[in-house]
Amino acid sequence: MTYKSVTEILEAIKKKDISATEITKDYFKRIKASDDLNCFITLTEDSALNRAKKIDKDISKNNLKPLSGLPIAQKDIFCTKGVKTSCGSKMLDNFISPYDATVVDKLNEAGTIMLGKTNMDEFAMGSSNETSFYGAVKNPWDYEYVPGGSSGGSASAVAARISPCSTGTDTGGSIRQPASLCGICGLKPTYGRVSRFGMIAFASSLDQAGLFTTDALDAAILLKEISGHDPKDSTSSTVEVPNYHDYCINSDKKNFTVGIPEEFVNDLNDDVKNSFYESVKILENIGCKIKTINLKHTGLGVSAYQVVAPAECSSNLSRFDGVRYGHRSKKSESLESLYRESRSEGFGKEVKRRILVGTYALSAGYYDAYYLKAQKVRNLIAQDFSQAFEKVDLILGPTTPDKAFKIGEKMNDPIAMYLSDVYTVSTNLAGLPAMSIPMGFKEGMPLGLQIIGNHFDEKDILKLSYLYQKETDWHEQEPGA
Amino acid sequence: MDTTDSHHLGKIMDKNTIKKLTYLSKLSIPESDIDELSKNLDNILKLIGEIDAAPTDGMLPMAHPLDFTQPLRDDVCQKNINRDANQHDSSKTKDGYYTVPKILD
Repeated sequence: MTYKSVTEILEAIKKKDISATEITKDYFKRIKASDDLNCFITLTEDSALNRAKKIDKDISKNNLKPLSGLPIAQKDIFCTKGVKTSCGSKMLDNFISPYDATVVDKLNEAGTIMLGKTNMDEFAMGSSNETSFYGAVKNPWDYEYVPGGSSGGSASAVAARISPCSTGTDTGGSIRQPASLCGICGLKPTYGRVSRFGMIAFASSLDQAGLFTTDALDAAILLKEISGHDPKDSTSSTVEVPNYHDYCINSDKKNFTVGIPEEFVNDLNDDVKNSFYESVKILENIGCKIKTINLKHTGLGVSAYQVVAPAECSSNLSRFDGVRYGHRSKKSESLESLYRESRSEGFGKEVKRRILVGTYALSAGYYDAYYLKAQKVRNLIAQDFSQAFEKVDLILGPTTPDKAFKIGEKMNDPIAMYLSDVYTVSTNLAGLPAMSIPMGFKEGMPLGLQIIGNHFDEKDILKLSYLYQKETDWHEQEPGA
Repeated sequence: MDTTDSHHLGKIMDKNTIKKLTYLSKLSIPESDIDELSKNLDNILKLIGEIDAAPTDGMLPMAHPLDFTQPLRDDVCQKNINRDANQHDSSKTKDGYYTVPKILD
């Protein structure tokens, strides 16, 4: 089997070089051979093969949809009708969703075949995939290292080539950080670009669904299919969805003005700095004009985020009370103890910690000092970006301060873990789109380049990524090759 | 919760505060975990306390990243998920209602 990318698979299916059933069977073989990565919480082999047969029948009648026969892995945060949707938590270990998330619905409608549900940090709270109830996911470049998080299973699966693409969610970097650490592309669209309906909520004003692929063109193909207004999500946008793929291929645009914030590069170690500035040279050769800029309040991004996100999490996770769905404690003697015991047994340490911080920040006497202040800092950060986009088309920086860290290395130090997202959280606070693409290696582990765009300017992020990937082969590197 | 201190950022998270927070959050934390939790929460409060110095005078709080009007759908009845589908876990339901421990004797 030589087909690896979304583009190659779709082309092969279209030409009838391979059937949907053959490609699906092949991916399940790959998944089973890489079982020790722990990428999947649930595999849906029977339903996938049944669906592949149906798609093959449709194809034989020339009924081809945009993504007919494309295997995909879904992050276990997206509700999938009739399939366990655990969100990486004991709390939802027994939860079978009665409906599909809009992202899942749209991808099904476009012809994809779901391989299974991927492992993730519990309720998307983590940067290493170690907070999952189902155990840590491993980085396919070196099994002793984390794949990043929270969408670690989705990223590891694409990096290991056991799924050609996958979905993820990004609240503070949960797509871009694991994409960077696993050496693949991870796209977080503009807040509101993709519906959040059926995506289990962590921090509703920050959460956004997105994608993992091996290259920018694949991301462009998939983004078009999952984007657009959804009446079921009151925060989804009505802004028109362009044909990102055609724009990447056909637009002549090359001379982007690209801003490099001093705040993103000043403290980098030499290896990351060298890889980053080699990438900058490539962009200059393409025709980009590079400008140094300042985003002077982004240094407060992690601090503001660690108020806003836990505050929203403490509110969102109050729905898990053991009454209607999810884990119910057998110890409960009263309604109060039913709530308390079910939540205490169902949630892991990191989730509890964030609920407590959020409850503290929202409680009487503390609200102004923490939550209101953090919202004002959020506005400062958003204004920094708005002012920067008056001077530049795109903003460039490293996705993460360093390569992946070892499993267990930061689990007892939440602050060190939170600082893994130092370059990613600010874009969530401002609601901006951003993408991580591979830019090199440090000691055999991948490094990521982050491209940030203005609201709804995913097309230029994808175009610049596409141009960069025409000049480099970092995205073609595979673990164990 | 203590509301007398007007400047709370970087405040030490003592055991009593943790107990109050666990009560409000409907969580219980084993006594053996309290010291570690207290240390971690202290460090988190120190980290988030950095926002205190930010120059936010006259700045409006930002609750949502996009400044747009919420589009409304037509006011038409729609088919929703039925009750049976939502209540497929019968161990928690009886005659279409959710069951909980007795509240009144």
